[in-house]
Amino acid sequence: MTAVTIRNLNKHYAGYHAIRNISIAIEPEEFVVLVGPSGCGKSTLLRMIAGLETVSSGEIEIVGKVVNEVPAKDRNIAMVFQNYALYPHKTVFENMAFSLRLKKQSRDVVDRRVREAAAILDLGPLLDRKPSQLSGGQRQRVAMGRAIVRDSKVFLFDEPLSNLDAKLRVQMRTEIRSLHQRLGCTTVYVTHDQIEAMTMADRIVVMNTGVVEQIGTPDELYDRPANLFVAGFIGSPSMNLLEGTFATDAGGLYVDHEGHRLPCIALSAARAGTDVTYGVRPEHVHVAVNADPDRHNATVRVVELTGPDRIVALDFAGDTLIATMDKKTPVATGQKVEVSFQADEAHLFDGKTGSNLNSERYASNGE
Amino acid sequence: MQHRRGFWLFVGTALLIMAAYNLTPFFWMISSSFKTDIEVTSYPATLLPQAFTTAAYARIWDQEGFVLYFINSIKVSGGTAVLSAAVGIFAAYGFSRFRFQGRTALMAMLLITQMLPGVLLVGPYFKMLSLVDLYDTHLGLILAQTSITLPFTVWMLKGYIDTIPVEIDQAAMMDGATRFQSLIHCVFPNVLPGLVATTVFSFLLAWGDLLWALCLITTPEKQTMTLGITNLVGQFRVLWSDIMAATVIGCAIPAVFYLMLQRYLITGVAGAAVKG
Repeated sequence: MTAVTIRNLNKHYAGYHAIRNISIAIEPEEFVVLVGPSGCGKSTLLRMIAGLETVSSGEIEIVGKVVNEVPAKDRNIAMVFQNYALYPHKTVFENMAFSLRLKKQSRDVVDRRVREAAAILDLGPLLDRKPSQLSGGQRQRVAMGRAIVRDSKVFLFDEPLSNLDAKLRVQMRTEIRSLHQRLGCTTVYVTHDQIEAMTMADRIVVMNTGVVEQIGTPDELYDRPANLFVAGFIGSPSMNLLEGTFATDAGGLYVDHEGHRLPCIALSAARAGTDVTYGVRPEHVHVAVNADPDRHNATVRVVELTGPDRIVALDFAGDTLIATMDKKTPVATGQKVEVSFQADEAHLFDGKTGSNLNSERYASNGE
Repeated sequence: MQHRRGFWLFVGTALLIMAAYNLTPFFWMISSSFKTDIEVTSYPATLLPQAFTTAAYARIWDQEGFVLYFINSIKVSGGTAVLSAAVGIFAAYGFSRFRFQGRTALMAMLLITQMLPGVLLVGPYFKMLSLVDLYDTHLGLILAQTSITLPFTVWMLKGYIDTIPVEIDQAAMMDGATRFQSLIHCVFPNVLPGLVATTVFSFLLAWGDLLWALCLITTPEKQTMTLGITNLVGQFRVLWSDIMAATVIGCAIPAVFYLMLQRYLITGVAGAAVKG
């Protein structure tokens, strides 16, 4: 039995279709991340699962029971909010104990459960403090503690790390992930940060304008994006997308981009002259700095050092091409270089629909 | 530096003038309450009592009905304050948290009632209270006073509740609370300063009211203190020192109230003003 099943879910606001016929099945103990740009409907979907938004049509099933009409308080779901939503007038202990007290648990049970959760999250010394006396990371942990004590079927996280600084965000990412592994709870996590999604999820649901663009593991989404949107959204730096047309010559099928020959694998669906978007990940842009000047086809515009790598922005046939390079390779702004691509590393997207034309190859390779 | 000194001198002088303008009547009231009947009407007037006496206080306290007026005022003002707060908090929560048709119009209507002079409403209230047999009753007076204080209470509390993230209510509901429980356990404690401020406001407004008490109460035993004080103005003689002594006693209750709740009042008013 799935932990959460969403069937043909729709949400209409006045004149606005926020969630469009979404269906997702989430397995028990799975960590699923809903990711997408602002306004894509990911938080609305999460709030519908929580019971904080009504369902216009479709079904939400939690552990085998349709909960469309079940109020939030009776769904046995724990939720961590973006702004933590800690009760400002209560201490950390009281914040965590609130749900248990509502259930009229005995004083001993409340005390034991809160202290157990506090021990897991290293909150023991902070139990008597008020939220205003805590740092952002500590507040975040209290919000998680409040969820843990409830022993819920499903945990929901609504962009819980967006108020934290970059370093703490990375630390909390690890903490949430290890907490999930330790507790084995089904988790639905919303974020707009694709790195967060890639690093934390068992499966990612990529959303855009109220529809699901693709559901898959981080690897699947990165290596086999279903369409242009996913290809552009997943990955940092994002995939280079060059517009061109299919063409053939003696060497076989290729993509013609402003007179440049971009290699691609043979596709039965490809017709010469049809529009195509050529996608290539920055790590698959091969830059030769010492190539013969006759072979130079790009100019280095910006060089950024990230630590282990360099991110290089290149002028290539009137487009900006991003490449990641080993930081040991000497490269300077204004330098002429040769850029090349491998056919089997390129993604081809239909010029009209944006769908990935390589799907045919994935299917034949059993990927 | 010179410029800043001049500025502060100006501010200080302005504040001093304003304070004097506000405090002079209080000073005069207190001073007169300790004067004899003759001194209080003597010319030229004396600033401080020449023959200090508490006779006016003794007379007022011994006067038949004064303690009753005092108790009546506490009953009516307390009732108004409690009713305003009780109804206001739920109305404000509704306006703050729910999006329903006519919400903005209702809020505007509440505000418009504040723009009408109270005296315009006395007639309709007299008629309505007579119809439901509440004319010349404390409950009727409380209801009338509440209709004046409630709009302010609702607006002020709504501003206050708006500053509390709606996620607090939602977190409470996720924790298993009903809407009512989330209001009582999670919202209510956080609007306490605002609630105290509005309750005190309602109390003070009702405490100082003369118009409604004059029009809606006729039985002497049901009269409030403000009405009782006006009774001290006779046809041929005005008992100034008695009036002043009664007024000092009348002011004492709000002053004590204010001192006790000062902390809440300041954070309450400032909170709604800044965050609302």
